[in-house]
Amino acid sequence: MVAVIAFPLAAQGQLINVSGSPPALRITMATAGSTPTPVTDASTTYGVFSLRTNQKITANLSQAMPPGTSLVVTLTVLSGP
Amino acid sequence: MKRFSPFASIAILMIAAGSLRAQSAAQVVTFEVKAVNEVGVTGSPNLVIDAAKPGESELSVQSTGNTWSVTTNQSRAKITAALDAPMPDGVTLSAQLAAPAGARSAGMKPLSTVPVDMVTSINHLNQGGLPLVYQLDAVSTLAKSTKGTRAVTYTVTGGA
Repeated sequence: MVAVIAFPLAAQGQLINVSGSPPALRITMATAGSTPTPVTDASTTYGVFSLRTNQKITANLSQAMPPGTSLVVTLTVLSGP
Repeated sequence: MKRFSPFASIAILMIAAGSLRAQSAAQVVTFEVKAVNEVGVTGSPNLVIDAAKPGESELSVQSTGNTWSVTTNQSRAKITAALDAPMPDGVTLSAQLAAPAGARSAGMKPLSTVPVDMVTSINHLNQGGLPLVYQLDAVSTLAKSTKGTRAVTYTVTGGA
């Protein structure tokens, strides 16, 4: 299955890009008695340019995830000039 | 070399800012959840028959306090159990696994080197700390000092 994550910036005068799409995330194992072990990927990066202050980045999926699954993303906070 | 004045630089930045529109980036994330079937056990049971009731032909002892756990994302999964070697003549090792929610336990089942169904109808769950009881039975005519160890292999197989 495929989900498209969009990272729109809210106002004008701003740019955001991502380095590419991550490899497939496959859940294949679990500890007996526990929920399946989550998988993570940290191979991609993002960059942002803004002439404004107090801006934010939001993220949304192209469609809902299947029941019982969740897709989580963490964007490391960038340090300003 | 011609240099921009500070005012010109500010103006260029302001024009650049105005020309940029709200912008977005997208990533395609491919994901898949494979069949996951895991079973685990805890405890190191030690079964010793050292007493009998007068007149009984069967000697028996149980080991409680062991537990088992299971995770499966499939339906109609089951747990089987098998020994790594046959038990000595006159001695029977049995096991009983409590059923997780919605599943069926086969009850106390004698173990052998042929896998036997212990729990069936396990559907999409993860549950741990389930009681696991072993029972050792021996006929009273058995010679004393019969002892040994056996590995019990539990296997979870998914149905669909």
